Amino acid sequence: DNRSQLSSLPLQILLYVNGVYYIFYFLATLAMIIYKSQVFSYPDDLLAPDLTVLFLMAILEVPRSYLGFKGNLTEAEAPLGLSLGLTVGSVVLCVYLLLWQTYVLWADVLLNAVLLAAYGLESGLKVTAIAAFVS
Amino acid sequence: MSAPRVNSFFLGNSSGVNFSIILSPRDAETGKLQPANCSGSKRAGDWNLDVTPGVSTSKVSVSLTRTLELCLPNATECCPSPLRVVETLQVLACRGSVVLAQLLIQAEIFANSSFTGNVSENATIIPNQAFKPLGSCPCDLTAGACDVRCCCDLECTADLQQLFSGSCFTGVFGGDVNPPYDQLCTSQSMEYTPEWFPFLCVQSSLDNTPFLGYFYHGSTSTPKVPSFKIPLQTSPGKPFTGYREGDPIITEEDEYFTVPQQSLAGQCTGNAPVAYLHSFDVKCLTNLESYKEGLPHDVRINSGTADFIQQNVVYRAITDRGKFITESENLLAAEVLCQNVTFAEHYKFIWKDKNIEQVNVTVFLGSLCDGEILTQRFTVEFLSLNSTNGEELFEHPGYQVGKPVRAANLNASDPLGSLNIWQPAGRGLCASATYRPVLFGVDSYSGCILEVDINEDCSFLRGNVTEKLNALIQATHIGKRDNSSYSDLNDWVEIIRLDPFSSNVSTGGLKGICPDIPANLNIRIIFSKVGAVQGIPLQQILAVQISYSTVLWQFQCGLGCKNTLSLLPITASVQFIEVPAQPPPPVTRYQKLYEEFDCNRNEVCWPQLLYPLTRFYTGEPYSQSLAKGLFLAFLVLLAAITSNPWFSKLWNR
Repeated sequence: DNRSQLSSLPLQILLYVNGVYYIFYFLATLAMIIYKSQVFSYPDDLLAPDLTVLFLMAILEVPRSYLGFKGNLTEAEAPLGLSLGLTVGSVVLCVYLLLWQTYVLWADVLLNAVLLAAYGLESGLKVTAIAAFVS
Repeated sequence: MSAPRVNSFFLGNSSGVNFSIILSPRDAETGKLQPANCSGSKRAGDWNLDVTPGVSTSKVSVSLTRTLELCLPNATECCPSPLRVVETLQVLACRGSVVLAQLLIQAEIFANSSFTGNVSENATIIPNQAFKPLGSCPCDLTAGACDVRCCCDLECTADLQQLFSGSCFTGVFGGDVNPPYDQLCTSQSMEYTPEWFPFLCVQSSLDNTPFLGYFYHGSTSTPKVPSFKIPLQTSPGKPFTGYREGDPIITEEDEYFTVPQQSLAGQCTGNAPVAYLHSFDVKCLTNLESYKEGLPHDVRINSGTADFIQQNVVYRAITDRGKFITESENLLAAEVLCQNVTFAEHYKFIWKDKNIEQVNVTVFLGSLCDGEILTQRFTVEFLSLNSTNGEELFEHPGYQVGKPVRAANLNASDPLGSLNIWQPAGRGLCASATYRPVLFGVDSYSGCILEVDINEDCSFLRGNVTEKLNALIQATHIGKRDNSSYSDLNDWVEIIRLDPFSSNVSTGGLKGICPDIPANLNIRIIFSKVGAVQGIPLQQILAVQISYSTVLWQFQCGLGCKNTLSLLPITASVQFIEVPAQPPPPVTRYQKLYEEFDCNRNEVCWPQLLYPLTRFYTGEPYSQSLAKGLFLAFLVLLAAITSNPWFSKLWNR
């Protein structure tokens, strides 16, 4: 079978690394939110939105990552397109955690910036892969 | 000057005298007054001069012609903005061109910036203090007017603000309601930044700070009012079965039988119940204003068998008034208010087993006059029916708490000695203070005040103080037990005296200051329990040490330094130290090694780590810790399930 491989290797690597990085990011952000809730005072229930956003992002990450892997490996553009859509949602939540959190620590800025960069790169590679699959 | 008008008088004949007023006669460059020029008129600028001539005096008045009222919307003749008038005027009285007299007036008129308008009925909306501090400008107290020294007040115009810009309020009151806090990345104020500070410093804006309000929305509960009723030993229907030792004595009306006693704080309380078989002897200070009568003596007392006995009261009059009365300073003339009061009461309760057989009371009455201090004495004794001559049936050989410490002078011919501390009365001066014996087991601290002259010689003062303190200790030996006899030397321990170090440091001729005055006497008595006799532990004194602590006495000036006497307090303190009769067993190596398991000696110990299975840790509420523990357990379970190969098969299907 001489059909050239359309699956993008860089995208695969990035998806894998992103998955691992996300686990670290989730645990670190959760720990920092717990630290902030003990050290600083939160106005009436501002802690709940921050925690909700974090857990929502975690829940989104699972299908996003799975669809990305599946789409890239099976060279199907539908799962990859769906993954791209979910990535947009994750980016929005990431921007919230970067800018609109109650207290933003410097470590928060660092982690979120790296995640945003990873998402951006991933989105670019996904678009390229979809273009390759469709054509 | 309270209105824009000032009056003065010109003395002398005012015929032919020309009065004139000149505005700002100062030289602008040098600031000096220009030489008087008689060519002025009766009006200068806004000022008007009125002269009312008289025979020998003329009234001269200077007034401001313009109005100082602030412009209302429809007025014309008014001030458009708050004025500030600072002008210098010179009034001259000339005859021809010769100046007879001159009057210099410095006028400073400031606008009254207090609010004179209507109070608006609109309520300002108070923002939620959790997000915004209440009042971004706390010193803006008046609406519609400028608050002085408040630089954040928006109603202050620029030139008004210039008046006080040098002395604005600082801090939160002055408008700095959101100061940068220590954890901000941009704050430089902390001297100590932890190592993790570059990562965990707060990057976000000052909109969310820990200074904002954080209110607890807890629930309120009304406290139950405690019913302070006397708990009775008998419930209705159950017969009263008699008194045990320590039970309060009850009267006919089911109330406590009270005799004034000394409370733990040291003062006398009138409503203190009497405990069965606990004798006491107290002295209470009172005077005519605060005198209160105790329980009336016709009250019947429950004898223990639900039978009531009458008190047998004998009234006697005081013979030796001096033992009870301390004269106060203000000795008034003959017309003083005197009242017949109780000077002393002696109660003798005759008891048998659990009942009281008889109550004999001796009341001493006397007259107390206004301005005198009375030392009342109340004694309660419990005498057994078998021995009514006052002796106890059984003499415990060891010391009991409250018994006086036995002291002896074994080197002298008369072996009787005494160990006392101060019992001051009246003003508390040493000259009028008496002694009272040291009681076993009662840590005490008492003293009196010595008056020292400013010119007193320091070594003389030291000697005087040492002599007064030594007078408290008229003994060389202290008895080991209560029944120590004078003939047996082994029954006594020698007092270890650490005499004060006699310093020859001279103050170099300085009067009014004396170093190293041994003004505090410390008596330390070491005792231990060496056994038991008939169930009651035998307490024995092992050693007694007497030492002196030195103070620096400095003359204290009174008002205007008119006093020549200053006060030096001399104190004596008694401390009872219990030591174990046998040395404690040595700590084994196992105990030393495993000290970390001991929760009493460590802040964190192993049983606390197993919280919430063991409830040792009390730092957080149990429910919170339980929730956190369960969450952790859930995560562990999740990790275990997802790492199972069966699960990955399910996932890949």
